[in-house]
Amino acid sequence: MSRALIVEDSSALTDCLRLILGSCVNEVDTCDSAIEAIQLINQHLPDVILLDVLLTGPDGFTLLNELASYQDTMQIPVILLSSLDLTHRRLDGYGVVQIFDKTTMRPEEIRQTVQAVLQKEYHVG
Amino acid sequence: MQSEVEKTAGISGVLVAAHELKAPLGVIRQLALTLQLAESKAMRTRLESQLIRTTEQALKQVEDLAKIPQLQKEQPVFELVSVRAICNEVIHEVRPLFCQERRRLQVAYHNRTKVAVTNQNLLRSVIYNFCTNAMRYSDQESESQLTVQDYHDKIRVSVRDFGPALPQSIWRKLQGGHINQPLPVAMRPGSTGLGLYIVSQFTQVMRANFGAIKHVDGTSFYVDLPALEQPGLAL
Repeated sequence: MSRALIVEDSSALTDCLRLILGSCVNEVDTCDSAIEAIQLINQHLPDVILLDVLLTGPDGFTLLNELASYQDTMQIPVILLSSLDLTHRRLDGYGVVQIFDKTTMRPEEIRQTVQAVLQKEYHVG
Repeated sequence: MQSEVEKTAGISGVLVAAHELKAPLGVIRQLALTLQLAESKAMRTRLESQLIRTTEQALKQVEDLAKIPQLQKEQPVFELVSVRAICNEVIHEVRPLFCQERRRLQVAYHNRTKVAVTNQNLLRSVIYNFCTNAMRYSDQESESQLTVQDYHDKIRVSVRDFGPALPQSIWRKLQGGHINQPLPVAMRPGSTGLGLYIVSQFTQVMRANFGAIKHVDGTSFYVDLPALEQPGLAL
């Protein structure tokens, strides 16, 4: 049984991601804010989080900080989605296993990455 | 002759506009790629309608931007306009967007006896920009409020959202009443303030006042339109 959480404030992109993950994840939760994400994570720990960086209210980095602060959430693999250049951003220790550029990402690479995460091919830490 | 400052502002404005339009283009591309994966008719229809709406919104913004240089050369036509009728048209247009994003839009008309003296196409764009801005910066399931009311000798059209606060630097620019170029800072997440720049340019040509009111839990953007007392005409 695998569970993914999509945190994305564009409903169009959420629909796309839900469809992309549909064949490789059993349960997909979605929300459009970091606050709602924390509530959902408290209910069910996901096996992977797809996280948009620019969110209304607290942003994706705030959520990453929050996840890194607790024992039970710091090991959750996070796939960041952004159209910002994050190459100079220090993300060590935040559970980030992959960063996708929203303007160039392709469905098959998202799916492959999620499958690899679920098969524990990525190590968080 | 353009001054160096104007040239720099122009280039920076183009960059900011390009950045703002990158987001919908990225969404359109992703929708097109994902459409091939949709197996059910319902999902295909949903993605197609997302594709159309995202494209239409981006096109509208490009059209508004393209209008700005023309407005500086040629004064638009002013006429007596029922603000309520224009609001109804915009609401009809944005309602599906609000539904798609799981947001709500509440409308209140308190204006009874005045008609605006304005250009209806520009007014339509201003209200559309206010509404889509409120939609973007509201939480899911939250309600934005479009209000039309008499305000001294003018008609005030305002749209209130319940989103994050505006930075102080933007408030100072808004209080000055005019934004000369798209703002080269993200005023709210994911935004360059391009919509505000468009509204600022349009309202200046419309001889209307544009401003914002800060609330504890959001912002109202408003435009005060020149108006005439016309009891027989007002709607």
